[in-house]
Amino acid sequence: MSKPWVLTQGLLLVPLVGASDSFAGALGLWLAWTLVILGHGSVMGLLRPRLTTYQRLLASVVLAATLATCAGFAVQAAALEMFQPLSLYFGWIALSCVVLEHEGFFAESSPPARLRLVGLFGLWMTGLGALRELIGSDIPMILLAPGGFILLGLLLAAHQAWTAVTPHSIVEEKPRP
Amino acid sequence: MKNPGGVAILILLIALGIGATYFTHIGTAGRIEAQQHAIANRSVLEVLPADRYDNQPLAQPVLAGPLALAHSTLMGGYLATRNGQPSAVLLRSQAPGYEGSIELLIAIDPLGRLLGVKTLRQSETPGLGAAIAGWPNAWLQAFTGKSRQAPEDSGWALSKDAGQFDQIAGATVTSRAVLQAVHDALRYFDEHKAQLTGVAANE
Repeated sequence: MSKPWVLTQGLLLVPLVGASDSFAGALGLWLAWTLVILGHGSVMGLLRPRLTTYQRLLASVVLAATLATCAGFAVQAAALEMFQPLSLYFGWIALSCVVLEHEGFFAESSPPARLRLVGLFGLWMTGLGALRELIGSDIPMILLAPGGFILLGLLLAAHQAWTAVTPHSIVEEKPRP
Repeated sequence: MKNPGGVAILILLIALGIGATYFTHIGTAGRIEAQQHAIANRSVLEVLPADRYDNQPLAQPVLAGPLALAHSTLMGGYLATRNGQPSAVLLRSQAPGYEGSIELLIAIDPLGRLLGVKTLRQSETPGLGAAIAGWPNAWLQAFTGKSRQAPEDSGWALSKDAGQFDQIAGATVTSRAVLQAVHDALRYFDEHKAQLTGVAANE
């Protein structure tokens, strides 16, 4: 329960660089991922107590593949043009579900912690998507994967610099034995 | 198995998963196909201004290829109509480029003037000949408004061949291939005007 859930888990960095070259695409992928992950989490919550560890993994794979495929079909039917550059990442959604399940995200985390990760990921996806779309019209390099990587690095550096300024009160005030 | 209940749940889950995937596929296939069709249509018909036609030009073929011309091959032709009157003929032309074959869509109005030329497929050198790709395309726009009569046949060549058209820098072969394909198409249109635009009038 104490484990903080961050973006380096569940393969979340993959689309953060690869699928954030347009705001609409990033938002669409995030919404699809959120729906699938919530569906996967709630069904696995029902099944988990009745399955062995090995069966859990199998069930997770089948469930994630089904949900991601159905979500992919639905998005294709609604907006094929948006789907085409993202088609690869609908496979990633299933993979992300299985990895998160395996890491114990659904079993161990509390609902607020889950929502926090979903929100954080959405914020980064849409933020990066909007930023890359804005800058991309002037610097086309930003729209390519390396450009996204550099931008993400700069943003993380800025974030790091920002948190370094604020005092580390929480860490230091911990009572020590 | 240690957990027969779990196995039953797994089998049920797999069956449900297959069923859900199958029915979602059946349910969405029609819409997906319609969208694919619309996207393909749109990318081809970009060459025509939207107010030029009110039919489905791609559903109205007037020429079945392949048909070899002097420098290129016509792969097909379509008629665009507006209020039942022919408003443009679209010719799909294939010409040998520098790297591979170039596929062009050439739109000609009933008077024989070019409405636009669009590259549908090409594999020319990136950074040089590949400049013929993309839409709208600055270099291909130079053809708009030209016809077989203006300029004369002798003018239908690159500047370095004593003609009227600039070439793409560093891509003489590509430029010449496109120019000759466009000229071929205009010549073919001129010679088969009645056949190309008249078919619809009789229908």
